[in-house]
Parts: sequence; structure tokens; C-alpha cells
Amino acid sequence: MRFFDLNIHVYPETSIRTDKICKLAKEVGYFGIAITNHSDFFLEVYASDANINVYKGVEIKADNISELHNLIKKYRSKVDVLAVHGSHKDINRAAVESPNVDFLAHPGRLNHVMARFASENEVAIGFNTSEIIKRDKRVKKLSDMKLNLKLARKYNAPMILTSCANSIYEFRAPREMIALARLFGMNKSQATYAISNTPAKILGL
Amino acid sequence: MKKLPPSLREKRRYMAFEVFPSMERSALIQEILLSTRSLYGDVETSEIKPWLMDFDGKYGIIRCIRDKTEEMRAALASLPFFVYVITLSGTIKKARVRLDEERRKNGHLAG
Repeated sequence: MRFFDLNIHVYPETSIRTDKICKLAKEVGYFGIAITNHSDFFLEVYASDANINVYKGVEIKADNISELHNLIKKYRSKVDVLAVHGSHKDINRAAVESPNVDFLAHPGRLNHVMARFASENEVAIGFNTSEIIKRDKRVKKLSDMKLNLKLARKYNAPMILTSCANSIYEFRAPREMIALARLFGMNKSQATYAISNTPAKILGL
Repeated sequence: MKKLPPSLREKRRYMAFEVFPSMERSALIQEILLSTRSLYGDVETSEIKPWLMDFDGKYGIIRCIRDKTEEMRAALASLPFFVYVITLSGTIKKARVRLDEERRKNGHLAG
């Protein structure tokens, strides 16, 4: 089984050093990772030595829909993984309506319309384990994820499990990610699919 | 007191793990209890029965009930620092052997 983590934020956005996270990811059993800094910290090049596959990515952060579309156009040809920073409901809606988006990271709360579009356009719905690790808003995040999971299952939308690590302490091994996914109701095979097959499909492997 | 016959004893599993950064044994115990209880509450925690067997500041072995290993893993994974479960074993002896291999392989993993 090949595991991927397609949402990691590195220096200068956070304190994570690329070489360190590559080494760690390799040792805990990942096949590949994607560096997806937010669009205001986008990295053109980074060293990748530790014989792990490092994919180029971006997590687009936009304040309004036209900015989002412009940024998608700008980055699509440059990156392997294009994520959208989910936040406001309008941004979420615009993201799942665009087939150029690979996945919608931490969308908060979705509704049935968005889930249907996500399924049609094959935009994966992101489930983010670092939100579960932080204790402050865990209850709300878990119930949002539970709802998103229900919608994604109903409309058969792809799901992706990522760490969204902002520090090396939020990074987790694949088995631990799967155990965390069980907390909001994913079963083992779904979680395994969301951390291996869905990312492989996004990367075209 | 007379020991329970083997068929009536609770079946256990042993998890060898690694943490980063290194810390005190007492601090780790506090964190594990806090994490398990805030995640599952007292009732479920009493069913998981987490128990720290060995810990040297970086590598350790934790014991739990056999049918609750995924819950134990999730509780470890929700700690606010880097945790990696190296192996899950049915006997503490094998867990220790596996842990020694890991120690020899790379004195430090995340550091």
C-alpha cells in the first residue's frame, strides 16, 4: 500500500524544514508527500533528497471568488496538487464547482449541493487530522467532519485524509492517521482509501 | 490473592512507540491520561486501560486491552507532540525486541 500526505506547510510559512519532514515521512512509511504552502508563501523550488517522492503543491487562499479563479488559473500548470483553503461557504462552493481543483482542504461545514458538485467535478473533500489533535475546537470540528463524511458518502464524492501539519508535532504516520479518522466515523477501509488511492488518483499514479 | 486462570485474564496488547521531543516519564503519563480522558471520557478509558510499561524519554511501551488497540492508537495520535507507533505486539518481550531493533537502527528518528 502506498500512502501519501498531500497537505504539509513548510518554512517560511511554518517552522517545518523540508529535509526534516521528508526524512521523517520516509521513515514512518509514506510513499510521497506534497508541500502545499498557502498561495502567499508559494515555493517555486525545494530540495528533495531523502529518496521520498515530493510533489509540488499549493493551497490557494482567496478572499473572494474572482480572486480564487485567478489564482487557480495562475497555479494550475505549475503544480501537481492544487488545494483550496476552505473557509467561507462561497469559496467552498466555487472550489467544488471547479474541476481544476484537486481537493478542498478543511472546508468546515458542507451542504448537499456542494457535496454533489464535489462528486461531479471530482474535487476531493479534505479531512484534516491536525484539527482533531488541537483540543480547543475539537468537538465542533469532529461534528462538522461527521456531517461532511455523511454527505460525501451519500453523493459518492472522493475523500482525502491529510495532516495539514503546521508544525512537525502535528505530523502523523499513516496508521495513526487512519486511527484518527475513525474518531469521526470513517471505517478502516475508507480511511485507507482516503490516504492512499484518492491521493494517487490526484497525482495521476 | 489467587491469580486468575489464563482463560479469564484480560487479553492485552503492547504498543512500542516513539515520541519527539523527548520528555519526562511523569509528563508523558499525564499527557496520555489527559488525552485519553478528554477524547473518550472516564468510562471508555477504563475499558482501554492504558498503562505505560517502559519509557526512556524517547522510546516506550504502552499496554492496553486487546480489543481497544485502535482507540489506544487514536489517543496516542491525538497527543500534542509527535508520536509514532513502531509496533503492536501480543507479548511485551517481542515489543522490547522490536524496540531495541529500532533503537539500534537510528539512534534518533525525528531529531
